[in-house]
Amino acid sequence: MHGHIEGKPILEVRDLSVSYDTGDRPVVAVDHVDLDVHAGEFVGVVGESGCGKSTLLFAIAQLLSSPAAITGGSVTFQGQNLVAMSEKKLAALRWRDFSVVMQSAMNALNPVKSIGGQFKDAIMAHDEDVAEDRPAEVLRLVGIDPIHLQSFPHQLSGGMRQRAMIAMALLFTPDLIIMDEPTSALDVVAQRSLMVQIKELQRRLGFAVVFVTHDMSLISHFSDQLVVMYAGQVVEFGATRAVFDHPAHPYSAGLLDAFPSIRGPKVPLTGIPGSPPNLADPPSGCRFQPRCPKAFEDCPKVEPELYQVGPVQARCLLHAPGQTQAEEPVRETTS
Amino acid sequence: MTSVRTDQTASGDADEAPLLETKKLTRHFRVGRGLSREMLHAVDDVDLTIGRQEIVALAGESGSGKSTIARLLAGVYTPTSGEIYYQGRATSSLRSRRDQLSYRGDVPMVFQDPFSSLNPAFRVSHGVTRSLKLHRPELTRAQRFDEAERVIEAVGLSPAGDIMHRYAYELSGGQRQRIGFAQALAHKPKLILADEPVSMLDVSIRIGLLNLMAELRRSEGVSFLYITHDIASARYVSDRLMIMYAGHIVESGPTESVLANPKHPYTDLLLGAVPDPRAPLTAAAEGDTGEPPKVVDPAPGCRFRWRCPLVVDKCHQITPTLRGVGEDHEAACHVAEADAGFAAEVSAD
Repeated sequence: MHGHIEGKPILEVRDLSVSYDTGDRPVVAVDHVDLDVHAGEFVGVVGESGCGKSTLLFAIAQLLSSPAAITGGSVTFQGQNLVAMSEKKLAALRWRDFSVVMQSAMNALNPVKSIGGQFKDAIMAHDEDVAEDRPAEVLRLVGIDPIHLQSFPHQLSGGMRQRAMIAMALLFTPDLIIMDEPTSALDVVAQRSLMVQIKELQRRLGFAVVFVTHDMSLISHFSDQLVVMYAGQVVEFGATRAVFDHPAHPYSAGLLDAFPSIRGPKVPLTGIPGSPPNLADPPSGCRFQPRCPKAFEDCPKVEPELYQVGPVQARCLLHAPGQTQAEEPVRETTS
Repeated sequence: MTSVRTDQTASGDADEAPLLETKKLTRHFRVGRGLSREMLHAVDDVDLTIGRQEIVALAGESGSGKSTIARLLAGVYTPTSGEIYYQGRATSSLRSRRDQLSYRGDVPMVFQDPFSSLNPAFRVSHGVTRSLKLHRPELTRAQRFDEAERVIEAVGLSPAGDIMHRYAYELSGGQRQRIGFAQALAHKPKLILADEPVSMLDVSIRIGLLNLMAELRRSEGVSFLYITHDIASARYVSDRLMIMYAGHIVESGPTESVLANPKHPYTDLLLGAVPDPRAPLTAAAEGDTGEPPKVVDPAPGCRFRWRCPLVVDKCHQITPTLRGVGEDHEAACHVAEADAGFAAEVSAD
């Protein structure tokens, strides 16, 4: 993997907030989020349904539609602030310089148009001068026979449809690909082979990836940096390996303990009790506090910030300066 | 291996027969356009047994035929050939509406997608009380509501009185799937067919549903057929594990034995695909980009041979059948068979 990457990030998200205007009380789905993505980096964003991770992606790509709107902060991509950009300029950038792979390939592909026809649409819309065999080339890159340019989406299997989506995202060799749970409709075998393929393509073509998922185990071997989101906030951020080995936030530890292992002793698991809070009325203090096994008296009173904990950052009062517990990591991984 | 039982002997003693058993269960679908006679072999010659209070996991990729088995057992499809025995009695002999209703009440199904399997126009109580009305007509209206409250409590939703009066959209995915289990539980079932009940849910919520299955087995005495593509969750919850590939059961046995000592190369492949952050990336899964074939009018031979790293000549000619490879542990693989000391039998074929 890349280790520490020098230089200026290609994507800088600063203090980004997104609200859904739902009448009496706006729902803050993304709450002052900072995120850096360097060239060629793989950044994973994990969290449960409703934590704001998909909203964050849509906000980065400027694809939000009413009632959601960016209420503050900036998204700087290759030196340009996307938030302030006109729709016309954005349309030129999207797909060419950064592209988006949506969650459900069946809904994202046009069912009445052949795969080749959909490639043509994209090329025409961008008025790009691409080689005639470029669609065939990108299909081959993702391991699909170019004969399927004539196929319609329903003739492809779920895994192939997802691959075709990724091929489309690669059409103009973008610098950044934003992926919203591209593997969630696939079974484990197809999922694993798609992940391996994304990583391999990334190594060859050098694009950066922002990858959203609820399954922390899925990206453990693939992402460089990991962002854990809870209730609209970043609760932990750091190098993937560091977060996996020593999760500093009890929520990250809970996510890691939520899935059974196929090796080692069979242990009863509890998952994370309760469900994510209603964002229209978040709990006081730390937002994870009502579900947290480590909560103590200060948690409902003080709103934690992101504190530096060794190599990672965590939004947990256990790690606030002056806390005695700070020396102890929340959980040592079983080796 | 026991020989195929005839109707007469099978319908003998209901107490000694396993809860549910299939013999050579097969389902083909006609595919192609117009007058095409092409047949898709979704399920071929499946023998499976589910005991009382047992959780049996059926694992395989998308398209392997696992859901077809669930639908055959639920009576949604009729078998092309083969037979399903429920408490020793062939289900094809259930002719009267009463018998069929009682079978369906005993063997309900929980569906994969909790977002589309509940009727959005009715309150949660509707689905539960409606099936009670059908399957337990002796209950009065008040008793039905009491019983509905009981099963909703049993699946871990409380306060049941409040939950019952909500609409599906007011519940989270995990809560909706619990309602799915409550509906199945209402008619005092013996066996719940759970078709990928957790695959649409967040990872953090799945474990709660798996724990619920184990709990219901203990408290309500039901068996489960747990269908999944996630072999790690199968390990967590099941007693026995069956691996399915392209319409065939390719390996079956006690869960721990199958996973600790997999005999079929496909089981290996499935094991390698499970993401495990505690282990290094396995090389085995990296090269595989194959998909299960669509088995249309298949020629004899092992259906896994195109993806198999161990393939030998014999795999192209003879379809392997399930043979014992360990205690109560069977695999349908020529190579595993030879390893297990069946070499003599192999050459005699």
